[in-house]
Amino acid sequence: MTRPISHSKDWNVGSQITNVEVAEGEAADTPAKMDEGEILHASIKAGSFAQPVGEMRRLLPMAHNALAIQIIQGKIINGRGIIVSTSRKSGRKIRYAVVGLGHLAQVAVLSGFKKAQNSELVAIVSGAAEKRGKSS
Amino acid sequence: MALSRAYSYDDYEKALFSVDVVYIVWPNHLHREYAVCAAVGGLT
Repeated sequence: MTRPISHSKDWNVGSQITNVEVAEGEAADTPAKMDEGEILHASIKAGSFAQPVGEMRRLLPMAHNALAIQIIQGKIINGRGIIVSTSRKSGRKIRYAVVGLGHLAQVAVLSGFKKAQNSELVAIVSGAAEKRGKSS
Repeated sequence: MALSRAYSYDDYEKALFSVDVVYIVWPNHLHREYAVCAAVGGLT
């Protein structure tokens, strides 16, 4: 980890949000884009995230440095941020990263993706260069 | 499989940009660091 974790997140998974907007300033109805560098701290709260998690990743670089972001049910309560529009993409497989390629991962996890219908393994994370080479 | 890339632990955050879910296959007491980092990034 290169960045300190200094903010909180609280959301549920189950339903979807079709639009997530993080606005600059205090008012929820004054969305405006802003540069990443201006954001200092983030507190992201969302009611529910199913598919939009993929889109929320776009917030990651900003969230690490956001001054204040608070999202509840897709609406901005306060804070600064950047507008992110999300839409549910149907038919796309859930993309997995497997972190750690020890014995358990090799015998019980990686092999499972061969039979997965709704998921796919797109990334592995390991400290062993040899394992990384074998798997790619 | 659509395995697109292998990352070192130093590049863990980069891996987050291309996935929806992180499957942490570590002993329990080592989960937090990677789980929190992923959660901050919006992953489940």
